[in-house]
Amino acid sequence: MRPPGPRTLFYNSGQSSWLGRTDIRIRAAALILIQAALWVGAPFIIPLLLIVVMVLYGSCRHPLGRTLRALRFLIWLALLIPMISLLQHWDAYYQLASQSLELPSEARLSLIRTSSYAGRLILNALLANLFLGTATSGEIINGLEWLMRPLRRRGRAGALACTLAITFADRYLSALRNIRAALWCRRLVARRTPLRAIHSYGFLLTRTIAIQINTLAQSLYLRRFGNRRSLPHFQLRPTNWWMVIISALLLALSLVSR
Amino acid sequence: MPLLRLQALSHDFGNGHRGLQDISCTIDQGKLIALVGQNGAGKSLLAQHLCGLQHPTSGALYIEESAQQATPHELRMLCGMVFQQAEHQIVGQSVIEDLLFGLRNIGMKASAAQQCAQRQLEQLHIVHLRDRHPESLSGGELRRVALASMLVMRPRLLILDEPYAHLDWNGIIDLQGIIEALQREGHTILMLVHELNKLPQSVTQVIILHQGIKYADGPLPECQGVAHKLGLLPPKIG
Repeated sequence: MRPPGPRTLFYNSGQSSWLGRTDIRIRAAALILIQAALWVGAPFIIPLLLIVVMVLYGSCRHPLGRTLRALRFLIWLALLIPMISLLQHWDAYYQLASQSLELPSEARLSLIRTSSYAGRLILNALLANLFLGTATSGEIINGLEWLMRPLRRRGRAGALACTLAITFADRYLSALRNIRAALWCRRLVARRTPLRAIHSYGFLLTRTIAIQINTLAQSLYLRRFGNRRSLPHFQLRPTNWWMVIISALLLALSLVSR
Repeated sequence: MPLLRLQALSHDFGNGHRGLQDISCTIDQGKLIALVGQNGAGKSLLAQHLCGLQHPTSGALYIEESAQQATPHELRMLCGMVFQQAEHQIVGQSVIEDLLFGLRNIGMKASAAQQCAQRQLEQLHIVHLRDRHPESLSGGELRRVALASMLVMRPRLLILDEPYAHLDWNGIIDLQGIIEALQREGHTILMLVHELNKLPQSVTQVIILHQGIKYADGPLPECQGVAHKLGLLPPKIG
């Protein structure tokens, strides 16, 4: 049942959509077909498939906030542009790499192999992102809960913490902005090194996330949070083995692609 | 009639630091009680014990005249708490969804829950915020939403942790009016504050905590001396 409130394109409160109604197995099969087409060696199909992938991604519904969705869209675009450029010259790269054209230098070949490998990795990352984007948060939580099951009672608390971290990811962006402002006031940003950046941003953000999750969890329990009764995106359901299998397949394909 | 009784409640942190030490007191039904203390006095920790969110190292809590020690589940059913940083406790993607979250959890039907949530919004004069995303609200509005989300659950004891934090004077006066109205309706309210001068006139009992120890427990005039010694009253300037 759809809880009341504003209906937006990406609103996710458990209401069904054509994508939501599509079984996770069918979505996974589509993604694996895309992968297979990629490795069979039909580069002209790839731009077409990418369009399909983009439409799927654009239609997906997830509970992330507006800022995070905008950020993810920008990352998506930033990844897509070099990818299209790579795919446009795929044949040339392939022939050069297989030395069927005039023999290039070893350094050039190495560069081509690296860029080809990077391109495949990027596409895999996009597909994994798409998979996570189209999967409901309940499905993601199932996977997390399965991973944490050996921890028994703490596993459940851990899964709930992950649920909250996923559901409220957009809040951490505003926390990050606050941290940046605080660091800027203390002139720490100006003399930042990678190690200092990890120290100053990473630790503070982790602490902020932990505090917020703790408060959210307490608030949930005070409002009689229950697995069977609460809103769909807070529920921990039985393990979805398809989620686990498909994630493993995607990972394996990424590794095999080398 | 007592709603909750605390008997020699203590809380030790793992590092040898003692958060609360032998706290005994009674929270009576329908009263407006203030738990006052400086920062780090143990107010929030005590409130978490009352809500069943912490386990005492020693001592016990009893509900009404029961001789049985209250379980965390019973305490959670009894209490509602608005946290100091109210924005962190809102779980819904819109104000109404946040109010409905708790109601649906207790098994209320959708239509009844809608009516109940609507009434609560009207009571706190925030109907116009109904469909707004929590991120788009101001500090004062967020506090009202968090208060509505807890009140809609009809807790027998409502705990407000630093309710005036981040509010301007107008916001404080508004909130004081809401608190007094709730008290008139018969709610039992426990306010956690660190300034005695911001308490509403209708406060019936003041409990003063300092470094985890109870220093005073009684009507406001009786506690003024202790409060002055502990710096819980604003200093005279000039």
